Amino acid sequence: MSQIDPVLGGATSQLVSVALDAAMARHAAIAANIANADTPKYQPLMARFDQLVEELQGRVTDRAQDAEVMRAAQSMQESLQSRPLVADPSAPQVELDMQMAELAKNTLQYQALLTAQGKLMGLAEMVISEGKT
Amino acid sequence: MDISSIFDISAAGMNLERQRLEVSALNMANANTTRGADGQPFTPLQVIVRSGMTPFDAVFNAVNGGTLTGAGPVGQVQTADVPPRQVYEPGHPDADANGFVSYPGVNPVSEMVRLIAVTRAYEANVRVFNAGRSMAMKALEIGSGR
Amino acid sequence: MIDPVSAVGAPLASIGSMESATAAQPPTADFATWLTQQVDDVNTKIAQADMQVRELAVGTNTNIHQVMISLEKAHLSLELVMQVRNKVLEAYQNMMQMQV
Repeated sequence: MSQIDPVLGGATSQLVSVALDAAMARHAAIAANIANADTPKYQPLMARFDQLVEELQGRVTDRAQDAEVMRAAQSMQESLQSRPLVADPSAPQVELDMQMAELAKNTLQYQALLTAQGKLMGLAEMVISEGKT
Repeated sequence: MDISSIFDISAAGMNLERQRLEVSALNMANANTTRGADGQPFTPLQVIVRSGMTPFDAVFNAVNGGTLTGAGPVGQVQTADVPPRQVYEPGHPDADANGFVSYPGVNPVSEMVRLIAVTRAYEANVRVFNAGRSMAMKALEIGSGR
Repeated sequence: MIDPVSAVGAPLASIGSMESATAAQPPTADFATWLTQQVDDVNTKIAQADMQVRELAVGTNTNIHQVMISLEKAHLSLELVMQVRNKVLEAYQNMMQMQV
């Protein structure tokens, strides 16, 4: 089947992997913000990833650009390792309710991505095992 | 419908209620303040709440099935136009020519009632938030448990 | 004033007419054609589910239940084709073992 190859190791897996890394970075930012909620003069942090993702958004639906998408995702993953958190320009101080909302959104995104990726891999597994458990 | 806009709306609601709580607390704490640090009399504050959605947003969303992000309430803190409470204290340093001192027109009873309303509204927003989250988590269980 | 009882009957009548419409289509010519069609269908469904997972990862599509439903549809279609293939192979092997 021509679609199982991409499922196993192609652009989709790379994108999901980068998105999961970004979700962990966002979690680190939220954890830091919540821990420092009472610290005076504390500047809230955010994950640097989000601006980088905007570039990818238009290109993921075109399978012909998969190779470039994979390269871009790879470089994004590497840059996330070095300095993932920056100061958040839109939040002058920590607002606990907004941080909790971000936490819930982020957790949900992480779990949804994991479940979806697991199901996609499950399709490949079904083909490999010929439908027998 | 965008799942993240559900969280953003509830978060904006919670933020607004917290703002109203802060303003109420400030008013109650300064109920007997005659002068501020700049020498001006203290005027009680209030939060004016408007919906963040303009009519154009509503039309755009209806046509394109877009998200409701930005539809949450937006609160602005303004001074309330309440006449000050006049108390006759001729020996007070801030007394005017007739011996009356102007205290801020803070009504403790209405502030307490507002506090109760704010608490209930905050709880309601938290419930909506949790309900949205439970629904999304249930959606993740589609197709599992075979 | 709508009669409540007849209001219930109206949607049921439309379901009945849908069923007769699909039954009126003649079955496909032979098994090979049907199987090829199903394999193409599975391909399409997997491709669609894959695309939706990509959009979920990048953030353009946050409709989680839609992604889950597409994945489940792909899974079911694939399972159907796999089981048909297994049964056909089994039948073929049975036949080959028959003493002439």
